Amino acid sequence: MTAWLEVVGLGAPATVQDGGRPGVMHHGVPPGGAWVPELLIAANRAVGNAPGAAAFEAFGRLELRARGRDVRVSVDGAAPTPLADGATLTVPAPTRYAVRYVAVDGALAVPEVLGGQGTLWVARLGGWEGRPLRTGDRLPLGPPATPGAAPSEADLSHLTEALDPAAPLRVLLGPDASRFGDAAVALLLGSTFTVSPSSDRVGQRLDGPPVPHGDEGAGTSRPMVRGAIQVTLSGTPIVLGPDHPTTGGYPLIAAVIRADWGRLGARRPGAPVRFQAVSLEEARYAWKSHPARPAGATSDPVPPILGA
Amino acid sequence: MTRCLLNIDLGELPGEDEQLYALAHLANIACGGHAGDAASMRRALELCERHGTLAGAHPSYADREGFGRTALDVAPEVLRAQVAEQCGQLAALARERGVPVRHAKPHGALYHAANKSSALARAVVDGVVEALGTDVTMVGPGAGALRDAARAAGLGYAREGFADRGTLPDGSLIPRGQPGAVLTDVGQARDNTVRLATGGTVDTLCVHGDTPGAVTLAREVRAMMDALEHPPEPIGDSALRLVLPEAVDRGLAREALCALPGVRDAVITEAHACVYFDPATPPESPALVLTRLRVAPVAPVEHPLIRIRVRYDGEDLPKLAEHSGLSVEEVVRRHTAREYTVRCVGFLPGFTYLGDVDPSIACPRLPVPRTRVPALAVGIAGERTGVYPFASPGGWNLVGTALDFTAFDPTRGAVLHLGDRVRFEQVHP
Repeated sequence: MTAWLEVVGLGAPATVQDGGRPGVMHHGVPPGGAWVPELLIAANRAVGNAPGAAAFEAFGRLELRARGRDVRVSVDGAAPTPLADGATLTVPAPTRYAVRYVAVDGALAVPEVLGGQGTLWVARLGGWEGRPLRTGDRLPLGPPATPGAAPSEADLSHLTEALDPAAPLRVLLGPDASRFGDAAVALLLGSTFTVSPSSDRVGQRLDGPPVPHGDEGAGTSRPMVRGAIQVTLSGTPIVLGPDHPTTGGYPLIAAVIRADWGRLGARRPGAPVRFQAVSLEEARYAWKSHPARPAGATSDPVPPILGA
Repeated sequence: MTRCLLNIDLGELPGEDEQLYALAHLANIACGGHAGDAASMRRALELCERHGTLAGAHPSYADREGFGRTALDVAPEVLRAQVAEQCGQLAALARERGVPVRHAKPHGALYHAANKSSALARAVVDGVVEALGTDVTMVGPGAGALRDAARAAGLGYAREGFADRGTLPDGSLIPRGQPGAVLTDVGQARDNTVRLATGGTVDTLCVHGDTPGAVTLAREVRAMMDALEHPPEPIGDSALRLVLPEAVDRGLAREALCALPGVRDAVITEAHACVYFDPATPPESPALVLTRLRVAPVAPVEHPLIRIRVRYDGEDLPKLAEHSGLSVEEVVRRHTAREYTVRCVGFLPGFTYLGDVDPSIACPRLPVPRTRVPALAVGIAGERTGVYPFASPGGWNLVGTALDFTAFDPTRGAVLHLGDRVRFEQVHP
C-alpha cells in the first residue's frame, strides 16, 4: 500500500459507496450506489475522478488523515482542499442534506465485488470489509488523478435545484395503485409526511397519516426497484433505497422517479416530504437533463414504450 | 381491450404442421367443401383437443379442384344444404370425440360472395344453424351481409382481420394474385397484428395455414397477440413489470430479456419478470420477448441437480408438524421426498424460492417475523422452501440447518440459478 486515508474520527456511521452494482439484481444483490448520487458525482468530478468512483458516504463528522502522498479532497463537489501527507482534515457533520460525500483524488481503492466497490451491509460485502467504517481503518488510494474542472457555479446551482429540500417528490402512480383505492392515493398525494429517523439504505420510512389498504400483499414475491413506495400493514409508506431487497410481497402504490432519488435521499430525518404525480413523459424529461445522469449517455430521441 | 383471438384455417393440406394447432385459439377445420375428408377432420379434432384449441367449421362452395377460390353460381337453397352437410359431417365426428364445435367461417370465394349477397349470407347462416345450432359464433368480415344475417339469426359474430394479408390505403385487402397480397414478411405481419389487434375494429385475426412460412408467421403473430394482452406495467420510470407466461423456462426468460438493447438487468419472480434500464433509453417490446419464448419450439433446458444436506433441527419443526397433523419424521420425509425447482432468486443475495413444497407440509409464514434468523437456516413459507444465505430478519418457518452449503459467493454471486433442481437430504445428528 503506497498511499491511504486513515479514519481518525467518526461522528456517525459512514461507509464506502460508489456508482452501484449494475446488473446483479438477479443474484438477489441490490443495485447499491450512493444515497444521493448527485453529491457523489459532484465530489468525484471536483477531484478529477470518474463520476461513480468509490468515496465516503458520511452521515456525521468524519476526520481523515492522508498517508503516503499529498491528496486533494472534495466535499459534495466544493473546490478541492489540499491535504498534505500526514495532515488531518475534519469534515463537519452534514447540515444542509442528510449525508455528505467525501471524494479523494485517485479514489478509494477498495476491492471490487460483483462489479461494485460500495458497502452492502445486509450481505456484509463490498466497501471496507463489508461494514461501516471504524476509527483506525486505513483505506488504500488509487494513483493520483489529474485535476479536473471543478463543477461550475451553474453546475452547483443545478445540483441545488435538483436536491431542493422544499420541492415535491415526483412519482409515477402504480403499478398496484388499484389495490389501494382512490382514497389512499389521494391521501398519499395530499399529505405531508416526514422522513423517519429509522430510515436506512434499505428504505426510507415516512411518518404521517397512515395510508390504508385492504390488501396484505401478494404473499408471493414480486420484483422491486429503488424508489418504489411500499405500504406496510400499519400504513407506513417505505420508499425503497439503494440496498432494497430485490423482491418483496407488498403492493406498490407509486414509485419515485429516477430524477428524484437523490432529492429524497438528501432529506434529513424530520424533513417534510410531499408527493406529486407526474406522467412517464415528464419523468423522462426530468431525467434527460439531470445532473446524476451518466456522462456520455446519448440523448437519442426516446422511443415510446410499445404496448408490448 | 377485449381479447383478440388468432384463427387459422386448418385440416386443408396433407403434412400440415401440428404446431399451428398449438398457436391458434380457433381452428377453422375444412369439412369437405374445398378440402378435407373424414380422416383429416378426425386428425384436426384430435389436435384441437390436445392443444386446447377451439374447433370450428370451415364450409365452402363444393369445389375441391378449385380449392373453393372461385365464386360459383349456386342457388341459395342448394348452398344452404351444402353448408349444412359439410358442417354436419364435422359436427358428427366432433360428437364422437366429445369436442364442441362453436364457430364457423365460410371459406375463400364463399366468404366474399356471402358477404355481398344477403340471400347467400342467409343460406350460409341457415346451413350452419341447421348443423351446429344457434350457440355458434360466425367469423367474417367487419361489416356486410354475413354479419347482418348472423345477427338476425341470433348468432354471435366475430369481426375478422388478416395478419398475413397486405392492405390498400383505404384499408381493404389487396386482391390475391396482385403483388403484396400475401405477406410472408414476419415484421409486416407483426405490424399488422399490432394495428389490427389494438384498433378495436376486429375480434379475431387470421393467419392462413397455406401461406409459405405459415408456422413462423403464426408464431410471431400469436406472440404479439399474447404480448398485447398484458401490457408492461411501469414501476417508476426505470423498470417495467411484465407478466411471465406459464411454461416458459425461467432462466431462458431472464437471458432473453437481458439480451434486449437498453436492458441493464432482469429479475424473474413467481408470476412476473422485470426489466431495469436508464429512463432515457427504455427497451422496445420486452413482453414480446417473453411471449415469443412461449410459442417457440420446445427445446428442453438441462438444469443441474444440487443436493443440500440438512440437519432437521429447526425450532419451528414441532409446530409445523402439529399444523400439518403429521409427525416430525413424516414432515422431514415429505420435505426430502421431492425435487424442487428454483423459481425466483431474490429478497437477499443468493436467497432462492424453491417449489413446490408438498401441500400437506405447506405453512403460512410467521405472523411476526423473527428479527434474526441464523445463516443457513432452512425454512418453509406457503408452498416455498429455501435456505437463508446470511443471518437476517425473516418470517419463514425454520425446519433445519443446511450443512456444507454456501448460498452466496461474493465472487460469483448466487450459487443456485433460476431453473436449477434441488433436493434436500437428511443428515442425522
